Amino acid sequence: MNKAIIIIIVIVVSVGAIFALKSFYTPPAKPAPTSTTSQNLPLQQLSTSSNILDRIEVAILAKLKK
Amino acid sequence: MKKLPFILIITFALINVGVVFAAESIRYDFDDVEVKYAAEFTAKPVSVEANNWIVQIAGGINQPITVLYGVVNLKRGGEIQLSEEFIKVSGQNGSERFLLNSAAYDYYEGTSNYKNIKSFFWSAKKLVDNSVVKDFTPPIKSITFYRKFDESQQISSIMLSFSNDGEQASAEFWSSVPTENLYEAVVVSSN
Repeated sequence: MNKAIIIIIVIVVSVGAIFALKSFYTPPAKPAPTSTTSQNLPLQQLSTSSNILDRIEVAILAKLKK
Repeated sequence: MKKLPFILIITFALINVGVVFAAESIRYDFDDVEVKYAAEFTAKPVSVEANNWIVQIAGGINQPITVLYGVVNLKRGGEIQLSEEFIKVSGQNGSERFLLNSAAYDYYEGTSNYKNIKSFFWSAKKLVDNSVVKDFTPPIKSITFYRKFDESQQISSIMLSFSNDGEQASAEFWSSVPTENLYEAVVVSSN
């Protein structure tokens, strides 16, 4: 039973280590492509990958215009 | 027989590691957006509290909002990476955009025809770079987007409920139909 406890501890530590390693490793940032929309966006949205939301929004608007 | 607990523990460990990597693999890394459904409509307030975040966006308690909604497939190299739903609510004082957090589908008995669909959006789902990050810093703004269908699958009603307490709205999402801080769609156009 003691072995089981040790194994559980090892598992917990291992999973923690995986998360820790992932948080240490930050891939180099890619330059953000220029936005294709001309709308004025709140600053908070601009700082949270608004480019992804822009691309989705532009595609939806284009679909509506067809 | 003594080995069974160890096998279970190892299995559990492998599942844990899998979950870690699966969570990491959800990335918004796409080169094409395929729009499956798109709609833009005006919604008017039915009943809304003055301190609700949407009132600030709308520019007043009696002011309408514009809703842009879409269902998309995000593709890379021609292959679907993930499906998403997007909503944008706009008014006199700006706009807010969200991606889907969860959805509930109800069907007419014995059929695959929708009776109603509820979609839940909240500000706790944020994008940082191209990954989803959950940020539960209050206030958590939320939208419950509710569509009711008749038996011929025509939309008979569209309601949106807005909350300043996204965690409470999230807890109530699965069990109830929104009844507070409601806006109702006026005109629907879709493709």
